[in-house]
Amino acid sequence: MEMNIKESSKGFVIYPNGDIDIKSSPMLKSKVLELADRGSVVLSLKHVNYINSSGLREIVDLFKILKESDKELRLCEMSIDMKELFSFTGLSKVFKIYDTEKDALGS
Amino acid sequence: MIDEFKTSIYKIDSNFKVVFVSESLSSFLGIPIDDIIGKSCYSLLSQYSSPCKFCPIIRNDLELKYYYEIVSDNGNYGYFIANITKSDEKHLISMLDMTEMRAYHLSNKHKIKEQKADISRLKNELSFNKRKLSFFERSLDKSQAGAMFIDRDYNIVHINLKLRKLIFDGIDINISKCYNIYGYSSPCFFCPWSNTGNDRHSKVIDDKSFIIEFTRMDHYILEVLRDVTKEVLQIQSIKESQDRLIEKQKQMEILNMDLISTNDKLKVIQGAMDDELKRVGYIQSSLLPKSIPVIDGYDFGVIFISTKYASGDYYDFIDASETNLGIVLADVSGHGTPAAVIMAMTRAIMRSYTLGVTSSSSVLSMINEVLCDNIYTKDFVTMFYLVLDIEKSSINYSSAGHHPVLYYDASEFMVKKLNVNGLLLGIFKEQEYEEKVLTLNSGDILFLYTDGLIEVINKDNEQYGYDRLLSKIIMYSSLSPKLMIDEIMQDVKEFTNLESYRDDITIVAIKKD
Repeated sequence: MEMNIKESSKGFVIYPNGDIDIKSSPMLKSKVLELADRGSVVLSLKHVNYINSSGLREIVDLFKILKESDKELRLCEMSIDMKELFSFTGLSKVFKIYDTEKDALGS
Repeated sequence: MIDEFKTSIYKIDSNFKVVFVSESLSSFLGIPIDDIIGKSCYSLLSQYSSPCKFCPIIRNDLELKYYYEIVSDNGNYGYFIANITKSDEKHLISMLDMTEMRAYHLSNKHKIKEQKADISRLKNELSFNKRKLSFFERSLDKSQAGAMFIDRDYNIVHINLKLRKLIFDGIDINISKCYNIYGYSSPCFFCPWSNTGNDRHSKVIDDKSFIIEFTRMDHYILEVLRDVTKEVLQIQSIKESQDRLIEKQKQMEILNMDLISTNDKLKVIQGAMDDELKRVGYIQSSLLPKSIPVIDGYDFGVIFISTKYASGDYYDFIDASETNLGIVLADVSGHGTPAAVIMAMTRAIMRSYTLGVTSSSSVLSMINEVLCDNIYTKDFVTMFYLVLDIEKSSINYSSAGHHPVLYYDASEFMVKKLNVNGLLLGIFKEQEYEEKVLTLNSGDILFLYTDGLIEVINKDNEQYGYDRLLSKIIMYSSLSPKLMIDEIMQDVKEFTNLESYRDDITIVAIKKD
């Protein structure tokens, strides 16, 4: 899985590219945890096509780990399908989800 | 008497005329005595017409030596020395025969000449040989190998510079016997003088390794010593690395054997695990409904396809009350034994908590509490739960993160998603779940499925997806749920064109007659 990272004064933005599944999620997870130690992290999903249940499992696990040290993972730039997925899984109430990257970094 | 001495005598008068001649001279000359008498001596003996030039008588010095060399008419040869005595005006000349002596003398003279020539030649040879020797010695000194000439008495006739350097390290030590070189005080056991045929020997001298080559001549032996210490060390080093390589190879072989045996063991373990998973799969299958419900006014269809022996999918029909049938479809994240265990746990909880509870949201809240206390992995469960009121033909339904159930509304010929939100089970406690109600009419279909169905991919990595599923549900809506499922699975099979599915697939369809 390709992954681009942007660093700004307000924090890091990670752009995973492709599907988030059982193959790609461990790498994404370790990157998020590494950067979360240095600042706030936003996960931009604009280049992600699909998240299956394995990918969801890792993202939920990531949320749990960050929560233990009072950190949070903000999500942004989701497709309509992804928004629907986060909606029916109830995760939209768990994660902080923003429409734009700017909104995610700004708050 | 005179003749017996083999001395020829003649006597001449004052006119050099022969007055007497001995028999021996007459026979030597081959002329009768009578013919000789009266002839002049110079014509007789020297064939001169006048007295001889050096005649001692004429020169008046009888002490002068006078030599005759006479070749007679009859071929006799003689060499004489004359001894002249004078008496009464006559001279008596006695000729001492020196022929043999002269021949001897001449021959000696020749011999001496020859010997002189020989000596000169030998001198030249000696000089040449000396130069040759010097050349050989210098050549030997230049040689990179140590060399020495040994005679029969073990004396070192010559030792070259290199050998001196090798053995004495350049220090001039006077060693005369060859065996001293090799550190012995008597002839070496390998001495080529006593071991004919021995032309080579190796010897270590002061930590240096040498190969000695012997060349035997009649009276000498040439011994050439080559310092092979470096070569020996190199050979030793090669041998050592070879030994190390052999040792490494042995270790690799052992490691390989170990790997093979580990692999075999792993195969056994894999087999055992496969068996285990198979057993888990059997147990799990036994946990799924043995049959589908038979209820007047409703038709049911089910398919359960597991990719592995143990699956994370779970469906069930639970009698919530006499008139209420609970229908559950759940999917445990992950696969294999952990998923199967969580599935079994979920079933047990469902079976113990749902009796008498007809609210789907209440059921999910309870299940979530229990699962949160019992899931120790990062797994969660998605679940769609609906309670069918058989008499009222209505359902109430709730979802814990499960894909929306598809509802075919026969009156509108369209499929709707039953969107109802709720958090995945087993993550956070104290969750409220949304609950909605729907009334079923004749021909309506409820289509419950796990995500394995829409996530089926083909060779181009395309998903089967919602849209295709929706169209198929509409297309086969007139069929019984069982046949509809068969047609859809046939379509899925054609779509994927792959031998197996990535994820478990479970479908439960309910149709209102």
